[in-house]
Amino acid sequence: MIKLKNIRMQYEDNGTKIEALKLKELQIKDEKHVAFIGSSGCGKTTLFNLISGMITPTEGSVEVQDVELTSLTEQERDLFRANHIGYIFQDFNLFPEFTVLQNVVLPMAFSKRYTKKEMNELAEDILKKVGMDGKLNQKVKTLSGGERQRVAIARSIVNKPNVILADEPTGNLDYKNGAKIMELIKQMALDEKATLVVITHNNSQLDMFDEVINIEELNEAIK
Amino acid sequence: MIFQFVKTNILSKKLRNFLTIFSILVSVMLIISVENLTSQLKSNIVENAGTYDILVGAPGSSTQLVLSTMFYYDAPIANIPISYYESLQGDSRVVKVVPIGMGDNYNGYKIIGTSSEFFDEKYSLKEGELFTQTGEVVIGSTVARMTGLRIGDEFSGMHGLTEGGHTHGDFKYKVVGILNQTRTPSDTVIYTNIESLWEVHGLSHEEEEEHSEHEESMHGEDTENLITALLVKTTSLANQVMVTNDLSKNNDIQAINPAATLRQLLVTLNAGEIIVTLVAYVSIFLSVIVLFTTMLSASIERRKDISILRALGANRKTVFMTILLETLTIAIIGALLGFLLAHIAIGILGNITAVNYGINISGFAVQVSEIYVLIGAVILSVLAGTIPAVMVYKTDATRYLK
Repeated sequence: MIKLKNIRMQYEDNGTKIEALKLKELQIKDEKHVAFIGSSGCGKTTLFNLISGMITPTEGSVEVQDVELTSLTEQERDLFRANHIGYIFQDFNLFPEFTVLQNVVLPMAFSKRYTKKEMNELAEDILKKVGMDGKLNQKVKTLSGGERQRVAIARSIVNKPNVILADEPTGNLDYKNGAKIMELIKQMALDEKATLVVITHNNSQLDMFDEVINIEELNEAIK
Repeated sequence: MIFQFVKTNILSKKLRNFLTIFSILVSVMLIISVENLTSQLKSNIVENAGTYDILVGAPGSSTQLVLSTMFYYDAPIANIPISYYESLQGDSRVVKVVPIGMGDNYNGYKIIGTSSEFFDEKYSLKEGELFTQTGEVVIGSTVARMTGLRIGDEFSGMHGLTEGGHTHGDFKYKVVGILNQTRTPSDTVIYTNIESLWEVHGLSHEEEEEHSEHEESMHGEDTENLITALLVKTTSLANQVMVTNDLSKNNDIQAINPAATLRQLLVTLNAGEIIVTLVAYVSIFLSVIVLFTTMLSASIERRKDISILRALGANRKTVFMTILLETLTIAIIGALLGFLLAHIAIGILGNITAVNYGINISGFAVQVSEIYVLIGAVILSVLAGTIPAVMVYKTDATRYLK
């Protein structure tokens, strides 16, 4: 379960405090597939960063998998993220000079749960699931956009996260590839029994989700 | 995985990192070469100074006298009368007096006229025996190796101290002994008794008159029974001073303490060493700045990569260590290559100096100061990488993720 309560997120810009997010309550049940929609700057990415523990709110509580993230130190949140959160980005954010396998192994190194042998075995297994098993040792820079996003999906689920956060994962892909990738993400989330939260601007994909939340309507700071 | 990340980062910017490594390499190589060469050169000079208290030679440059007599480098100033040798032999304050005469060569290797007393414990024979008769020679190890001369071989000397003079065809030298390597200038010369030189020059007078060609040095004047220098060992320090003072009263010679002259020479060498060392240290400082700018630009370029790592669960300490490890790797590669290449260069130079000057410089001799240079270079480099690493540490990861 993801629970955000009485969230207030303020930034300071040249001494002026700017309120970016004010939210009374947001709950996402386990294993649900949820889409965040809303115009740019409405606070979708800020919410993602709060859920992943990359940032903490100025006020309020963020609870993910019964862990109150605001009570953790930054280092504890980093470890929590490595073990419980899978990230998928619009720009893939892979390391182009690394091979497919190396990119997928990387988050496992931060989770501190596996031996090197286990890491390679798990990564190979996941890459097979996303259809990239034939290109394990190929450098990511040589892959197509669709292939890169498949590698990014594999990387996001390799640590068996409880929550997958996907920030416009099909934004850089054509319609056909985008639909395939979204299907793959959903399938992987189902297989891993993970909660899936996706930021999307693609209205044609909204019916794939259990719930669609318009952050613009929730964020009192921009009302 | 961090090591893999660092390796990939270094390899992905080959040219930039190669140039950074190269600048560190050159600086370290320069410092180590200067430190090592001057240190080995000094110890060679000190070793070669020997046990003689007084060096007697013709008036002129004392440095030239020491270099020509003890290192066989440079031409001797002029000759001195044999009477000084005779009087010092009968002086009770003197333990040992050894004559040195020169003026001829064989294939560029100087022929030194001396006495058997010259060969102290520093010298040992690899083959044969010391000369006892006029015309017999003992050759240094380099001479044996380079000329191929063996025991029993005969040869004629050439006039002058370098190749190109006319050959004293009527006088044959015979090799009776080959010295073990001493790693001193003695390896590069041919020793004979002083009488051989007198005899060959007696003969050569007639030849020269026939050829109507006169040159300076031993041949230019009445050379018979003249010597180039005298090496003197006295019974005590007090006697050394007294003998020196007595000899200095004569205008046709100079009597010097070879060790004191060598010390002066080392002071001059030190001045040169300081300048070169300063240049080398400035160069390492510049290398550190190059490394700093390389790592700074790498850190700025890599802010997105760092943000991705943070999103994947890497903590700030890990990303800080990544940048620092990258700096450290570049610095260590540069420093070690600099160390290695410096020693290869010293080894090559050592071969040249051994063959040409009998100065033993080894590429395998490592000075303690070199270890400090290596450690210093690495510490400076790590300091240079700290600011970029701190920048990375403070990066707000959420700003660069999309």
